[in-house]
Amino acid sequence: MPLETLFQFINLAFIIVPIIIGLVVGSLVERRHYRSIRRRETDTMAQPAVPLGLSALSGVTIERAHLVTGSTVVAMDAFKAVLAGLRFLFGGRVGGYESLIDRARREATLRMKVAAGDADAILNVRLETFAIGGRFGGSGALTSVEAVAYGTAVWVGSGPKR
Amino acid sequence: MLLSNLETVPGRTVVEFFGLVSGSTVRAKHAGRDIMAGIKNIFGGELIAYTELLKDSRDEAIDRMIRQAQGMGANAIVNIRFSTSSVAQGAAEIYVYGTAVRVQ
Amino acid sequence: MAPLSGLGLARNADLDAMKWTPRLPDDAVNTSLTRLTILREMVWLSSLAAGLIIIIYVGLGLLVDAVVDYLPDTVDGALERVVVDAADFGPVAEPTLPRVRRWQRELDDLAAAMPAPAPDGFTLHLIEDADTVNAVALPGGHVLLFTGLIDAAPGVDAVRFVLAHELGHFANRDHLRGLGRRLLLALAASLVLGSDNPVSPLVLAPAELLTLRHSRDQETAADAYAVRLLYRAYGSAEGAEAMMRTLAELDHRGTVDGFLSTHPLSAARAEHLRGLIDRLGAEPDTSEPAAP
Repeated sequence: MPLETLFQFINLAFIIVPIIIGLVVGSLVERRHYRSIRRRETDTMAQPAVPLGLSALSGVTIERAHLVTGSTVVAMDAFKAVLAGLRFLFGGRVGGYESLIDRARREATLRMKVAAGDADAILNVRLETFAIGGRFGGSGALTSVEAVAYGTAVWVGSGPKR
Repeated sequence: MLLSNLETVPGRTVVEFFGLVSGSTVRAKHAGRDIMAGIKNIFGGELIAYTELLKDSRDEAIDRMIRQAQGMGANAIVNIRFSTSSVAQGAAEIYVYGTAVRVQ
Repeated sequence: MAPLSGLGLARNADLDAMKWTPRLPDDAVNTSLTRLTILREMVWLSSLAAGLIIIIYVGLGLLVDAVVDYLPDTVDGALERVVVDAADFGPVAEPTLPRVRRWQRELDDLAAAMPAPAPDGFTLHLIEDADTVNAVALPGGHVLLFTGLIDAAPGVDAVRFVLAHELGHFANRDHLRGLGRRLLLALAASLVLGSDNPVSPLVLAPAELLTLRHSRDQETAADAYAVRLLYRAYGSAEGAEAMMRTLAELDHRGTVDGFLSTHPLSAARAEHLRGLIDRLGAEPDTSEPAAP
């Protein structure tokens, strides 16, 4: 039946076109995101954000401290989703997910630094990630990931304690 | 490389702080292992295949973190934390992070 | 990343005093795929998957073909309840009753000539749809005949060929074969890939194309059965070619369409039927036609 033939073509197009768009646009978006992340990381390098507690600053007076957070949700592109799906079949390292989560964590950390303003350091930093399901129903395939970074921004005093 | 999940390395003095280092990896098990695990779920007991998968992932994540710390010129990582997040059914993400320091 | 001195970089002089030397970690460590390797991985994994699909598909096909002839009639009955009861044909309208009875009689005559008659008989449903030139075989011995086909058919012989063709599907148990393949394939895909793996549609779409190819083979087999049955019942199968020539005029399809279609091209089918009619006509003793 010609109609059935047409449906088959439309069906295939609906599957393949997003994958190609995902490959082209997705890698472009990722490269731009990484460029931006690296630039901002270099810019904010002088403001340490570490999992360490107060021991990182022993010997100085802390004038002010408060909690700061940063978060972001990064979506997966269709090409990487299919690649990850194939990995679930054969096992192994899921490379597509690695860069996705890496981008999310670093972006969240940078946003936390923005929230900290001119703080001298952010201490006791913790990072959390949550998988967010999409229209596929959520349980099986990851479609986007949320990363949250939080810590305590501290402003140190002008002279040594003691 | 000295690893510690205390704020310092006991018996040593931290002489220099470098910043946050992290290692992560996402691994999936293949569908065959998944089916075997489903069968195992009937009887209970340790899922050896999964234990090994997660152990391998954790080792790789630590290795990656150490490589970052070496690149920064550190000789110890303190205050290390692990987190395991299930990013998707059938895959596990291991994330390990800490502070790269130089100790005497 | 080359080690950078923290001197002068820290915002606060006290931090310098506090032994802080901020440095950036090597960020390539935590991502294993580059632009080149991601493509290589895709090509490698998808060819592996394609091989797996072909193996599973062929294996399932052999399994279904081996099992379908031994399936008890209860399976047919169960499918009948699902498919036919869902359609809910309802009572036949009074004005069309004589036409339904007439084609039911034709169907019964043909069924009586089948080499292996079905004990439960066949039920004809006349669908009032002048635009659809089609007939369908459903589980439980139900034949749907669209009025569009009766209108388009060049004669009673031609409609008889269509009915015989549908009976051929029942004789070959095609209605079970097709459903079985699709069902098992979907089951295997969801078992191996999980219910919402984005790869599932990629696997099922090519498999659907294979199913269509398979279905064309079934149509050809049903055609051959129909010609033999017409010879057995009426001693002539001229209606078969006439019907196909009419269908060929109705759809002017290109040759590209052939691979994707469920039915072989009508013109090619007509040629094939002509050959069959000539061969069987040359040996009029067709008392024992072998079921294909």
